[in-house]
Amino acid sequence: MLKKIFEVFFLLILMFSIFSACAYKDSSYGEYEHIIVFADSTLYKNIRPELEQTFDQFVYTPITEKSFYLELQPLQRLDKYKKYRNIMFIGLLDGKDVVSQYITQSFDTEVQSAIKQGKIFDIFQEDLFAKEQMVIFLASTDLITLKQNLIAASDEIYKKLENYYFDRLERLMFTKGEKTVLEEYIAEKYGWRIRIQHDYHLVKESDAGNFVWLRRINPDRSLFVFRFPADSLIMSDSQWLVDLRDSLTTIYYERDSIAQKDTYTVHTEFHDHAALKLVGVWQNHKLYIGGPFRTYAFFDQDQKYIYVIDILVTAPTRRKKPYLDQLEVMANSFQLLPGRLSL
Amino acid sequence: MKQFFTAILIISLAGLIILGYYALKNYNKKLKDSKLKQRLFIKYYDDEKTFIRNYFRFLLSLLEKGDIQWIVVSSRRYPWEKIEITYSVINQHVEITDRGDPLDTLQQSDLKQLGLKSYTAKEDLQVLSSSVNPKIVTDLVYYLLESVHNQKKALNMKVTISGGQF
Repeated sequence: MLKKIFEVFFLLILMFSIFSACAYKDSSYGEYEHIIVFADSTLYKNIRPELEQTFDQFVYTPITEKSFYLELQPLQRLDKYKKYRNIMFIGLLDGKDVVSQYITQSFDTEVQSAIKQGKIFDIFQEDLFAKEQMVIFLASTDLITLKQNLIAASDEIYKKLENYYFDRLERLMFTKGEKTVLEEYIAEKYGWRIRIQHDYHLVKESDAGNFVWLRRINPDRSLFVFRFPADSLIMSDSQWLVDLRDSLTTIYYERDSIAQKDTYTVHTEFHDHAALKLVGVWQNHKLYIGGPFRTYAFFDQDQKYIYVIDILVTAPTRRKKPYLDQLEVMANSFQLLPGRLSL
Repeated sequence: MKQFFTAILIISLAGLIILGYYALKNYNKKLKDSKLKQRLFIKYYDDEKTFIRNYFRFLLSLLEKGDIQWIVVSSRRYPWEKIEITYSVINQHVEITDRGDPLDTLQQSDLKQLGLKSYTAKEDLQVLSSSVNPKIVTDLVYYLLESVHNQKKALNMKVTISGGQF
């Protein structure tokens, strides 16, 4: 009897160990914007302009930064880099180089035939070697087709990767902490909600209830929400938004102003509302500082209010895009709470 | 010949005695200096702590009024620590944010004795809250720098303020 119990117990432990070993994956690491590219060096040289056009989209902060940074590595170093956050394999089906052979071996015959027929070009695989990781396979039958496919699918590939990038960023941004008490305070008092990362503080709120400023330092990051009653949103001209932002930042941000030469307007959507988005650079002549900012403005028909959400970064000597992206995640988490319009 | 060696021996002994005398004198002087330095260090340390507390009294009143938004305490000694002090309008208390390993129960009870209201930690982020009292805030900050980071980092601290119209 005792022997049987021992056997069952042993088997259970063995099964548990096997299952947990199978399911377990380490977390990915490395820079969020870096893509480790495994490709034959000659092939990479040939498609480099098309690849850079797809992934290296420039962001003016006012230093020019890239949206993604490509780093070519030989396949022999796969073990070293396989747990990086973004990995890309590029090769030709039945090609003779090691990366192409690796790609060909990785796909079953159905996928291979779909690639040969031109039905599939890019394959996105999440969490292949590690958690929170994106692995991209780009494969074609020959170099010309690869180039053509890359040009044709450029926007789609970039959008897919960018969406995953922001989803992952949102998941990881709030793992360490979220200021739920402050979120609830704002929701109760102002009738809208925003996700607030740890270390952000409510540093200013106007008595009239139309201005809320959240800020974090090291490096300095700010987000403000301003609202005012209106009948509609003027979409044809954005000068009013530039002037409005300048007047608000004169009061609250020690006379910051928009560098209008380096700023442009985008017509976009913000949670199903038609919106204006200012993308550009702010400057402060008094303090000799500046940096990137983004401003969203949209009109809420139910409340008859125009909401302005502004994000900015001050990070001299540092790359600003990662911080700006975190603020974009926070700004995009903004939601109106119907029936809770306060003040 | 014998007298010659005796003379050399006497001269050598005399030289050794003179050298020993000066070595002893030097050692004594160094000992006195180090004791003096230690006394001065303790005095500077206490003086600075008193100064910081008084400075915090002034800064916390500005923080409470919203004239400034942040007090950042940083140590000048490597590895640099940065402790952020802010005021929460919701609970009307001071929030002290630090990075490092989570505090153990003994450290938490020590901090509670110093006046800590609440403590939360997630990964390396630690948030301590206290009432708006310069003595409590000073004691908590010094405890973090001295005992938690396990180094005498609190001397020659750099205190900076950020934000606001001050």
